[in-house]
Amino acid sequence: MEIFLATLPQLIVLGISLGAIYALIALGFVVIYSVSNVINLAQGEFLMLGALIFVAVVDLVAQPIGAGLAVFLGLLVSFIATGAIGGLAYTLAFRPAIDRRASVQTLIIISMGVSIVLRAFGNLMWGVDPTSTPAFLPGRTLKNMGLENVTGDSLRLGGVIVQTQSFWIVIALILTVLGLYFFFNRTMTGRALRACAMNPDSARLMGVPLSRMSLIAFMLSAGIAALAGAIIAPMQPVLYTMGLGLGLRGFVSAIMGGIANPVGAIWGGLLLGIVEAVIGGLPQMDVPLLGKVNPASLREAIAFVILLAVLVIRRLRGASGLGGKRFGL
Amino acid sequence: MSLLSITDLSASYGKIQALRNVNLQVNEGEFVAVIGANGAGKTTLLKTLSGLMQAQSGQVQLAGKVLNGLNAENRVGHGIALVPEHRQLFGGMSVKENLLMGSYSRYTSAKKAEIEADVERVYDLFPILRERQNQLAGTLSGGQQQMVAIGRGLMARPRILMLDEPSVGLAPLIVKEIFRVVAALPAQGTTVLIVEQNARQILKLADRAYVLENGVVKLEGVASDLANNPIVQQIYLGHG
Ligand SMILES: Nc1ncnc2c1ncn2[C@@H]1O[C@H](COP(=O)(O)OP(=O)(O)OP(=O)(O)O)[C@@H](O)[C@H]1O
Ligand SMILES: [Mg+2]
Repeated sequence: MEIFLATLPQLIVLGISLGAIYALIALGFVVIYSVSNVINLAQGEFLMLGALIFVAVVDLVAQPIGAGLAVFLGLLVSFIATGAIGGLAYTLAFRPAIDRRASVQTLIIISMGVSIVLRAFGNLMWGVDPTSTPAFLPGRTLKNMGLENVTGDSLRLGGVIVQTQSFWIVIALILTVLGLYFFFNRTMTGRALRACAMNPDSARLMGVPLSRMSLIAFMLSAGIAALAGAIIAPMQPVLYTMGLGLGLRGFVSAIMGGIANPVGAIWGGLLLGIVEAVIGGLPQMDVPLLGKVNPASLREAIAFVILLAVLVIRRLRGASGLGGKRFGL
Repeated sequence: MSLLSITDLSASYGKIQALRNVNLQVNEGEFVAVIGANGAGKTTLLKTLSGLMQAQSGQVQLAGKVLNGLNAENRVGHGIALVPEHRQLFGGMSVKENLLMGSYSRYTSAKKAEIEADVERVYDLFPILRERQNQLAGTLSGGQQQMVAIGRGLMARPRILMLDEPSVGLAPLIVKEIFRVVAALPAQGTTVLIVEQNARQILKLADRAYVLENGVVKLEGVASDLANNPIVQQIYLGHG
C-alpha cells in the first residue's frame, strides 16, 4: 500500500494524459450528436485511421524532410484525410437514413456498421501487424538540448516520471479546445452549428442547411479523433483494432458529461482517465470469496461499470440516460 | 404590383385539412393582417409560406418567382423571412449572436461591416436590446425576446417579413411598442404580413386584412372596413 501511495502522483499524471485523449474523442461524440442526433459509435475507428495515416505519412517523409516537419505534416494529412473519410461516411451511410427520418436507434446501428467497414478498411490497408512511431520529441533531442533527468523518452520531474508524449497530448487537448471555442463562438459556420443544436427549425428559417451542417460536424469530429489517434500513436501499438477500446472510453466520457455538453465531455474524459490509471495501479488485494485479485486486470471493465452506473443513476433521477441537451462551449 | 401572391393554397397534417384553397395577395409596401381564432390555420399558412411545411396544392409566388418546392433554408434568400410563433430564439446564444444568425442567408465576411450596421439599426428600433446585447436570449423577458425575434427576422433584409402572433402573452404597453415598430416597417421598405388574434389593435394599424376560419378565407378587405363589419365585430372584436 505504501508503494501505491508513493506512486499516486505518477498514476494521476498518467491518468491526465490518458484522460486528455478520452476527452478529445468525447468532444467528437458531442459535436456530432448535438448537430445531427447521431451517437456515432465509429468515433474510435476515425481515431484508428488517423493514427495509421499519421504513421504512414511520418514513415514516408521523415527521411527527406526531417522528423519535426514530418510530425507536423503527418498531423495535417491525418486530420484532413480522416475528416474527408468522416464526411464520406456521413454522405453515404447516415444522410440517406436521416433524410428518411430514421430513429436515433437506427442511426446507432448504422454507426456500428460504419465502424465495421472502417475497421475492415484499416485491416486491408495496413494489415494485422502493429506499427509504431517515435515520440514527437524523443528523449535524445532533449538530452542534446542540455536537459538532465532524461530516461528513454521520459522526463523526471521531482518524483514523477512523465513521458514526453504526455506533454503533447495535453497541449493537443488545450489547443483543440481553444480552436473549437473560437470556431463555435466567433465564426458564422460555428454559430450555425450551435444554432442547429439549439433549434433546427429556427436555424432553417435563417437559411442554415441542416445536412451541410451535419456534414461539417462529421468531418470536424473525425478530424479531432484523428488528431487524438496521431498523438497517442507513439505510446501504443498502432493497428486496425485500436479504435475499439478507445472509442468506448470516449463514448463513456461523453455520457458522463452529458452527451451534448462539451465542457462535461472534457471533465468526463479526464476523470475516467485518472480513475483508470489509479485503479490500475492498486496493489494486489485479498478479496473474500474471490481470493487474490489484481486490480490492474479490472482496468478494462472500469469504463463499462461507470457507463452502467451513470445510466442507472440518471434514470433513477428521472432524467434521460444520455444527459441534457446543452451546447454552451 | 403584388409582392406575395398565394393561389389556391391547401395544406394538411395527414388527415387534418388545415388550409383549403387560400387566395391571398400582399402588395409591395403594404401592411397586411390575417386574423382568426385558435386553430384557424394561421400558423400553418405562415409555415407553408416559409417552407417549413410543403403545400399540398396551390402556388406561392414571391415577386413573380414560384417558391413551391424550395425548402425553408433556401426561401429566406429570396426575400421572405418568418418571425415564428413562440419566438423560437437560440436560447443559449447572446442577443447579438441571435441577430447575427438572422443574417446567415446573406453573410459573407466581406459584408461584416454592413451586417454590424444592421445590428445597430435593430438596436435603434429596440434600444433595450443594445443594453442587453451580451445577455443570453433565453434569459430575456418575453417582450425582449419578441424584440430579438423581430430583429433577427429583419437581419435577413427580407422584402417581406411575416410575423406569427407577436403580441401573445405580452403586456399592453409592450404590445403597443412592438406594433408601432412593425407598422413603421413598410414605409422603410419592408412589406409586412402579420398573423394576430389581437384583432382590435391590428385592424387599426393594417392596410388590409383577411379573416381565416377553419382553413378558409371567410372575409377580406380594407382593414378599417373589416373593423366595422358586423360579423367581425361580433366574433373577433367582442361587440354584442
Ligand atoms: N403538427 C400538427 N399535427 C397535426 N395537426 C396540426 C399540427 N399543427 C396544427 N395542426 C392542426 O391544424 C389546424 C390549424 O392549426 P394552426 O396551428 O395553423 O392554427 P392557428 O390559427 O395558428 O392557431 P393558434 O391561434 O392557436 O396559434 C388545427 O386544427 C391544428 O390542430
Ligand atoms: Mg398559431
